[in-house]
Amino acid sequence: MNELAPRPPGATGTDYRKVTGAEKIRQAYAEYLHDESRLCALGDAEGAAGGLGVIHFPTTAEEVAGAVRAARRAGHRVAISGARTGITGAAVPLNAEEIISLERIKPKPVARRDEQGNWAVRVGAGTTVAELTDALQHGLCEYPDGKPDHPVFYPVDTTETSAQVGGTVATNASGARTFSYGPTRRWVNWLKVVTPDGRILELRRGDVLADGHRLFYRREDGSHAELHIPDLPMPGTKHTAGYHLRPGMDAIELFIGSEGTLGIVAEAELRLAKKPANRLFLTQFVSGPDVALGLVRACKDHPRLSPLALEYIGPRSMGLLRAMGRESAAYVEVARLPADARAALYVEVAFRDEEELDAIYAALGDVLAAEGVDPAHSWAGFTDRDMEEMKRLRHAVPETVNGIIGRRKSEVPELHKVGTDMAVPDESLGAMMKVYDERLEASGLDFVIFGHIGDGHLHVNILPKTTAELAQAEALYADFAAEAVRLGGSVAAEHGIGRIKKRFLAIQYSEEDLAAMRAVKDTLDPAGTLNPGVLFDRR
Amino acid sequence: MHIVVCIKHVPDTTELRIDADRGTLIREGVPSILNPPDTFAIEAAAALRDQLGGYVTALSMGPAQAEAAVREAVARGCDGGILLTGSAFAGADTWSTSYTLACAVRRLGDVRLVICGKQAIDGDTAQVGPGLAVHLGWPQATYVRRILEVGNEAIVAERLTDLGNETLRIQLPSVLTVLKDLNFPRLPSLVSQMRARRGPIERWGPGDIEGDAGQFGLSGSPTRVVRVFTPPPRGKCVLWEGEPEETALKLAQALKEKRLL
Repeated sequence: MNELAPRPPGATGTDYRKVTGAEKIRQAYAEYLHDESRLCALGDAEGAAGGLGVIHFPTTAEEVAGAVRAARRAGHRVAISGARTGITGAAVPLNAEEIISLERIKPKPVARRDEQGNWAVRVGAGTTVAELTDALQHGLCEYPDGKPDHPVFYPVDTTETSAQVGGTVATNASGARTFSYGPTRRWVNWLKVVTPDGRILELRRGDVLADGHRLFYRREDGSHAELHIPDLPMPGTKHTAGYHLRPGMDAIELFIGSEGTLGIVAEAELRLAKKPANRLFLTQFVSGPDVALGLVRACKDHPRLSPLALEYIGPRSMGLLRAMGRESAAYVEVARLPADARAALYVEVAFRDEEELDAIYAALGDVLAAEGVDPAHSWAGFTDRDMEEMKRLRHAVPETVNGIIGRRKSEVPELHKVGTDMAVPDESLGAMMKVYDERLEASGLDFVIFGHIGDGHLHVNILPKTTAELAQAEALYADFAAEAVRLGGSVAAEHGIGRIKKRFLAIQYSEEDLAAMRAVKDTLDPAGTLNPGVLFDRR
Repeated sequence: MHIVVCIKHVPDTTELRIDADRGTLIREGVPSILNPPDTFAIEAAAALRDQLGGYVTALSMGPAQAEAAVREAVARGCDGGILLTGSAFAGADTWSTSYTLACAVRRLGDVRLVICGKQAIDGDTAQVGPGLAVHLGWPQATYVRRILEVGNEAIVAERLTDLGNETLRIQLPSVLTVLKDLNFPRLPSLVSQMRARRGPIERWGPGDIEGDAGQFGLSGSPTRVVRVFTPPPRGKCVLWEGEPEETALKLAQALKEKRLL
């Protein structure tokens, strides 16, 4: 089958709530006007302060569909709101008259085996990643066919565990373990999506496939629209920039990572993974980026090591944490840093038993010795608490950056951090790191580097002090993005494009490719109802 | 100086959930961990050993699985570990536990200092450290937040009380229970974890310690856990909705009426 055929919505329940009135929203619902980026709908020149007048709080997909239909009838456009943990402004209701918040769509998760015999969980868009993780760990889901005979978990470990599942699907979210488990896209079995015309599409992976370059969409009047599916030159790295389009593709892929521009994810069935019996968590302190990169390569190549995650904290990040330690959420961890620790590599490895752990110890010993690294300069543990302590150090880097920028902003309101999100193929990571280092050192700007080194995906955060430095940082970002694409990488590996990073789509793709993406949007959402201004400028 | 650190393998109570319908604890998915307050005791002992020389023994009582906690204590800085284990010890309350631990400390012979965490996060009694001091007949300082001096004969420590800080000089051998203010516990390195995983942990049964077997385990415990339950909510909750200024005034008025303001 190569046709998407949504159905009209059914009856709605009685629990549906809505808030109306721009002033009331501004006063009591201000958190719905911004996400974790600098963007805010309040008071913005083209913002919704005047136009925005409704927030819907539906509890089911049917109620979402009802809200979309009502908005369309009124000629309104709709911004979709999850937990607003994104940093690209995708959930900021600019250009929209109504918000649909999905936070109340959270029925009890239902876990059972899927048709392939794998464990999967059906979950509402408003359930947070933390709630899902908790429900799976403590057996708090519904289990219509009985509980699994081994522990299972959802392996997409988003940094912000307060992110809601609907948002993570819409943005194809990832995390540290994406290195081993892949991003959200790989784990989605089934979606219940509300279409831009207010109908409901239930889509199971494998059910609707493009016939080469062609996929059809049945409109409400019964006519068929044809979607042309181009062969986009998508990089082989982590990549969340624009639509996922390739000939013969599974239609479910269209909606994953589409940032709410093609449909609203109301429910999802997510595949689960068998939880590793045991894990070793290691933070190895090293002398600098070259050694860290050497260790990453050695860990990947070693036949006895199959890391689940490989994360990096660069020398400037470490310096920042030491300097700001007393203000950081990770103060205790910073206080315990070895005196000579300049950079750090976080490694997570699964093992079944003591014998396998011995083999891992031996392998790590070999790898560290070959790079001249002292294993005594490390933190190692086996419990989730150990992991959390180590991750706090890594997560404290962007938190500290945000704190500094917040203070500078009080002096110069236009300032914001410039945070990059490029990934490059393994073989090009050294070259990319060299470019970062040379250009940034020469720029005189404050910066830090950290992130998902295993995926060739490091975040550069530049901290401008003046508007001139901000312009300099933005120009550097564009140069880095062009270099990443030249090296075969992605301009947006995990944060997406949203409203803030649209200019990078033009670095990644040709005008023809972008026109093909735009045509998909125009076919599914000709009125431009959903998330106006996300991915593309509104027409 | 030979220092003993008493530790406990406990359920991670932050992972406990309550079944709201039945009012019972959900134990599924709750890992067992080294009692977190004990990490401050381990660090205190390791720091004293690093300063003065000597040996630190981690001592615990529990089922065979509790060996994981003893190994973690070794990874975190102890030099060796002993687990008191066996069915004769099962079901012990704080009296019996402290008695049994005291027997083990006596058998070690040359111990000058015992350090315990403030309390265990499962029982929250804070009784085992003081009980141990009584059974040993040694002086004690509880809730220690700073160790000011350690000599061959005495230790000077600052302890937290309800009224402020108190500085005590106590004769060695003695027992301390310590607070988290005392230090930043070191995290184990890969090397110390490898050493702890591979190193021997001694297991002692009732035959390995001298003591009155009638005081071990459930039979030696004067207290019993009769029932575990979630207490019903007390009183009623008043919820004021509205603008912050308006609700703050209502709260102030209500507190005044109750003569709390």
